[in-house]
Parts: sequence; structure tokens; C-alpha cells
Amino acid sequence: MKTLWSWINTFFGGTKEYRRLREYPLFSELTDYDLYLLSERMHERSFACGEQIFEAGYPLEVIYFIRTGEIKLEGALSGKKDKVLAAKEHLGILDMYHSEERSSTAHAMSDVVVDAISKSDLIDYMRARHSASFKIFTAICSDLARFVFDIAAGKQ
Amino acid sequence: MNWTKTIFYIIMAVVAVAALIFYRWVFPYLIAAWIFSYILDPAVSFMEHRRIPRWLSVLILYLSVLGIIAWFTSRLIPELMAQANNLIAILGHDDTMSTEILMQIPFLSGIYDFVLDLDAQIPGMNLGEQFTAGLDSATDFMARLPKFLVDHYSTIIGAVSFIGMIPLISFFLLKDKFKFRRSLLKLSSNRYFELVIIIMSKIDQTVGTYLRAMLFEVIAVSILATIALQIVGVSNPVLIGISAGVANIIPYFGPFFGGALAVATVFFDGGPFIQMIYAALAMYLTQVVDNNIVYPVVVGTTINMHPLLVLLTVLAGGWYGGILWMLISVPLVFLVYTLITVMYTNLKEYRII
Repeated sequence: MKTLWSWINTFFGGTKEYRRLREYPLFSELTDYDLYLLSERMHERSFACGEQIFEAGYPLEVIYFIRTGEIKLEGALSGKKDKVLAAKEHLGILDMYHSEERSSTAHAMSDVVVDAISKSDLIDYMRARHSASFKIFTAICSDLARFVFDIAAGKQ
Repeated sequence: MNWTKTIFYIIMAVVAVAALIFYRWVFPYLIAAWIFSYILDPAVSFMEHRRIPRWLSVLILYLSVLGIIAWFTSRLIPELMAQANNLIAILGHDDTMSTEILMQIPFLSGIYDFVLDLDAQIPGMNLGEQFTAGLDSATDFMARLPKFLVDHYSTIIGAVSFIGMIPLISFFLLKDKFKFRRSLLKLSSNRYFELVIIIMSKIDQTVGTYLRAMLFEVIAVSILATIALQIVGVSNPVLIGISAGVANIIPYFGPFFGGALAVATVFFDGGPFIQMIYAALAMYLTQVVDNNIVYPVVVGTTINMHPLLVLLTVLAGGWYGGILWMLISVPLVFLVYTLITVMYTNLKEYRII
């Protein structure tokens, strides 16, 4: 009954834990059902202050979305100075389209909670949900554009 | 040394070992259900993406599979049983099969005449005697073959009750696939989280693709062989086709079994020599289509195992657990090999070993 009710609820709204994912810019345009499917593939992880999240040169399989806390990035994408990523930002998407390996090392600057998704799961999801993948790609492009303009403006 | 931590780990280890001992009987059920759920998972995911919840998708799939089985049972089983009896009668002949009857087969009597000719020209060779002795042992084996088959079929029938539990366990594995994955990943520490996820993804991909491809290939080869044998007029084409399809699981050697069974059926049926060639050709063409169209498209990559290793694995499987293990030993070894390769590569890449 609980399963049936939760399914029916995906059509009729209500308070949903998976709606929280809409706070991430990449998923802000997704429908409730898209978010529900995405949330099934997400894993919650916590990192203590100072803990290493990943190291440059590691294989890239997980994309992280920062729920709370700050993460310091050192490496190819960090630019002239260390880059600090805050809540609602993500790690791994740019690397995903560049190489099979991490280009930077990431450390938690405070206690951090992240939503993590496997790269293969995200790709499978995007292959299966065309409308959702279009929205995600649009958000990635807008992220990239901002990144490029920041470089041009000397902010990176 | 942190004694609290050590004592906790010891207690956990004891609990884990006790759990393994307690649940050891259900492992075969779990493995079979896991394989079954791998085969059905793409269809469940397909429906889930069309707003059908996983539990309902599984139920719809089960009903569809039941429908197919019901259709198969009502339409094909009586025909299959008749063909099985016919084939056993041809191969076995029970009390009527003898060397004298075999000698009436034109092909064999031709060879026997030739051997006698040789004996007459080269004295002391006794090829005729050796030929009849060989036929005697062959007929003896054939007489025991139906009993051998029935003995193994009784084992298979015994497994039917085992099979009954599989869909039930698979239902939960399919319905709560993501929940199980999340729970499993929660157990891993942050240091190993990415490693575990990458290993799980790769195993998921390799095992899932391989199992589904294998099932599709068995079905494709069974249908192709049945049609080809039907066209050339070999008796019992459905049964031989299905046997060839199942034997095809064993790389390199499986296809020969199907061909040999088709040729042997024509041979013991007293068919002309040319029909044996047609039967062999039909099975060869089936393999050509399978190797060049079905396998590359469906499986993509072949099982990269040396033929000698395949042969040794099949033999070891046969010694260990009979026909069933002969069939599953090669895929099993391949899967274990893949698993170890994936683990080794990633442990290296994460600089853990």
C-alpha cells in the first residue's frame, strides 16, 4: 500500500524528499517524476572537515552535488588560486566530458553533506529521459558559459 | 590500540560468520534470483521510465512470462514430448537395437563390406572383427542412453520446486533494486565509496549484458536451427534445435554438439548419407548466421578465453556436477574472471594495491 501510495503521490504532488534535488541548478527545471527517478539513483554521503573526497588521477565514476558545507578544489580546474565550491554546486561534471580521470583533488573545508550519483547511472538516466537530459544539458551549457566568461574576465 | 573498536569488529565478524552459516542454504536461491532479475531488469527500467512503478512493472512482466509459458506448454510441449520419445527410441532402440540391425543401415553395411575387402586383401588385420566389436559397444551405450537421460531429467524435475521460489525473490530484488544498492553502499567508508560504486557499475554492466545476450543467443540459435533442420527434413527439429541452442552456451564445443546430434538422428533414423550432409550443412549455416550476425550484434564482444581453457573448464564442470555444470561452468569462469579483472584494475587505479 505504501508503495502504491508513493507512486500515486508522484502524480499529485505533496511533500517530497526528492523535490529537494530541484535546489541544484542542474535539476531546477526537472519534473517531479524526473526528480523521483533521479533520487532513486542518488547516494547521500557525509565528509568530515579536512577529509579528502577524491584525488587527482583517480578514475572518475561519481558526480557530487554539495548539499551543505564547502569543498576546496586543487588542480587543473582550480585556476590561479584554490577554488572553493559551496552548497548547490557540483563536482565532476566538467571532468566527465574531458577525461576518464579526476583533474583535481577535493577536500572538505567544513563538515560536508553531498548527494552523489554514479556517472554510468546519470548517463543511463539521461539516455532514457530525453526531456530531462535536454534540461540538464541546458543547465550544463549555462554553467560552462559562466565558467568561460569568468576566465575571460580574469575571475578564475 | 582502540579495544572498543577491535571488540566491535570481532563481534561483527562473528555475527557475519553466523549469518553465513545460517543462510547458506538460501545462497543458490539468491544467485538464481539475481540472474533472473538481471534478465528482466531492462524491461522493468523501460516501464519505470514510462511512469509505471517498478512493482507493477515486475507484475506485468511476470504475467507476460506466464502467458508465454502457458502458450508454450499448450502448443509446443506435446509436440516436444513426442519428439523426445521418438528421438530416444531412435537413439536407444532398447531391446531391438543390435549390431545386426545397424548392419542393415546402407551406410554402415557399405563400410563393413569395405573393411571385409581389406581383410581379404591384407590377412591378419581382423578389421571386420574390430568393426563389429566397436558397433557392439556403441549399441550397448545407446541402450543405456535413455536411462541416463531419464536419470538426469529427474534431477531437473526436482529442481522445478527450486525454480518456483526464484520469481518471488526476484520480485523484491527488482522492485527494491535501488534501495538495496543504497543500503549496500552505505556500508562502505568514504575512502572506498567510489571504488565500490565503480566495481558495482562494471559488474552490473558486464554480468547483465552477458546474461541477457546469452539468453537471447540461446533463443535465436534454437529458432534458427529448428527452421534449418525443418527445411532439410531432419526428424525432431524442435528438440534438436533447442538442444543445439542450449549447448551453444559452451563456446567452441557447444556448436559441435548440435551438429553431431542432428547428424546422429539422421544416421540412426536410417536416412541417406546425403541427408546427413544436409543436416550438418543446416547446423553449419545456423552457426554462420549466429557467429556473424546474432553474436556480434547481441553480445558485442566474445568470451575471450583460450579454447584449451574452455575445454578444461567444461571437463572440470562435467566432473564436478554433470551436464548442468558443463553448461554453466564456462560462463561462470568468465564472470569470475571479469570480476577479478575489474577489481584488480580499479584497486590499482585507486592506488590501494
